[in-house]
Amino acid sequence: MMMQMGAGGPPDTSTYYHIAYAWAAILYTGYSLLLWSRGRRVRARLRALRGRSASPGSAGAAARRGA
Amino acid sequence: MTSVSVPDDARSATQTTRAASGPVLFDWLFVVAVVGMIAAYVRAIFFTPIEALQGAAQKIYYVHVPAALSAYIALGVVALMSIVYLWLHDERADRLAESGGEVGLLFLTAVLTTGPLWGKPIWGTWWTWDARLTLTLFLWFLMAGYLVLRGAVDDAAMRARYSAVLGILAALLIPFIHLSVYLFNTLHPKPILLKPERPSMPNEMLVTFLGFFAACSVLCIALIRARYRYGLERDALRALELDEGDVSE
Amino acid sequence: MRPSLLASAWFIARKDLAIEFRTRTAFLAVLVFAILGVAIFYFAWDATAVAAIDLAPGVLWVIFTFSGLLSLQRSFGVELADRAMDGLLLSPIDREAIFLGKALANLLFVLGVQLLTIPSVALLYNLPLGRTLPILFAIAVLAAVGLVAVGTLFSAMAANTRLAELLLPMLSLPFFVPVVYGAAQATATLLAGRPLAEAAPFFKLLIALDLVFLTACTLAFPYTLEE
Repeated sequence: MMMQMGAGGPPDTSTYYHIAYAWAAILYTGYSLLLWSRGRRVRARLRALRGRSASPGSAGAAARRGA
Repeated sequence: MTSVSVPDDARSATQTTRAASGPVLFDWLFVVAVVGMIAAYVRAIFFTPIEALQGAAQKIYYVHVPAALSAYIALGVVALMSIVYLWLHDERADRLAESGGEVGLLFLTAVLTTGPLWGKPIWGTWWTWDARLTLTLFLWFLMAGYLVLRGAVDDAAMRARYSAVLGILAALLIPFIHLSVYLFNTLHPKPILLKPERPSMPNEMLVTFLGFFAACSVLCIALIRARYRYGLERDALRALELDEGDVSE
Repeated sequence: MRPSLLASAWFIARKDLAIEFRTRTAFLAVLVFAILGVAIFYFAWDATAVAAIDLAPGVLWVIFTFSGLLSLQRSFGVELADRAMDGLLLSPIDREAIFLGKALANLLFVLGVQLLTIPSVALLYNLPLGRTLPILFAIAVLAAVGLVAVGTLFSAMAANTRLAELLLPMLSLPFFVPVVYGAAQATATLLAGRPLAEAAPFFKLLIALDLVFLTACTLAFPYTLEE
């Protein structure tokens, strides 16, 4: 997995490297999941409203902000 | 797993709106991006040698720089779409700008967090006012402001106009930040203990770097696209809710 | 007959300043803020660690930034009452002139505060008055133009949003930073007795900023109004 190149060996800075790689992965995955869950919520509400459009139900008092 | 599946009972509803809202948020492009990122990660972690002088932390470079480039792509979208919106008043331009802003903030955050993690072991300091980090910090504040502004305006047309103005002004600010940083650095030479020259990368490292660059850019575009589609659905929902509001009155 | 751009701008500026002079509360509030700020910095300063002449520019321009922000916040609040803005928009005055007029009023307001703040800084920090005051005023004028151009535009936008008090600083401060940087470095260079040529890059930065942002904000202002 690791190839030592120098005679004395490189300095051990692997903690930073692990944290940085893990954190970047968490950021990207987290945002994708967030976007997916926001999308699901909006779709559910869209479905509910469209299903109700035949009957004059009361408008959803739920959050207007879909974001 | 990465594509949103639509249950059968709602399929007819979504069919009618398929033309407007698009099928799924996360499509083939996103899958390609995810596969690419995983491949880049694997290559960087397992198949790229550790640099002799700097140790493992040098590998952060492979994640940090492509993230910066992706951020610039996203912000370029914001600036360009801001101009297009003011010129054509097309709400699609505004929606695309909004998507670029959010995704841009994501990548800017990645740059600003991986940067210090790289800087501390390599340069001996968590932060430095060099051109890239300073500019990134400013862009972060500008994009955060952009999103807060959007959240604070209820009227869609006003929101689009205001955002476009901010987007264009932010783009105009960038050369001035560069100039300030340039003056600052010529005045205050950095007292840094260890400042490696830009590594002349052996081929293995170059391939890893380019691979990350490609994967990150595709991820950026895929996320902007997904966010745009989400924006389409959210706007459709808002329009419906507005109609409902009128009817119930 | 459509009034010229500058005449209209001056007309708007005079109106704003007249309103301001009638009550004077905003001016006094900002002035008190500025001078108290200078005093607080003074008490937070270890005079044995940092020389007055090194600290003073930083203090001056930080206070300048925040008192400038405070001045700008009241700028469009004035028009919100009674939808006075509609009256302005219906008049045969160019929208750009409305912006320039408001910016001019803000500029004079900010410079008015600086007229009293800068001597306070000079006095408190024992700066050589004869040499420093003219320099500081000149830089203040240059910096104020840039600050006010961007700030007037954002204050017009923020006034129509829900988070006006948060948005104005949040949007403006990134734009203020190069202005303050140029002003502070020019000040520091000149106060240290270095030749004008060394401060030239900073003056160029300030002037370029002023030109670009005054133009851009004047052109952008009509877009922030309803069609």
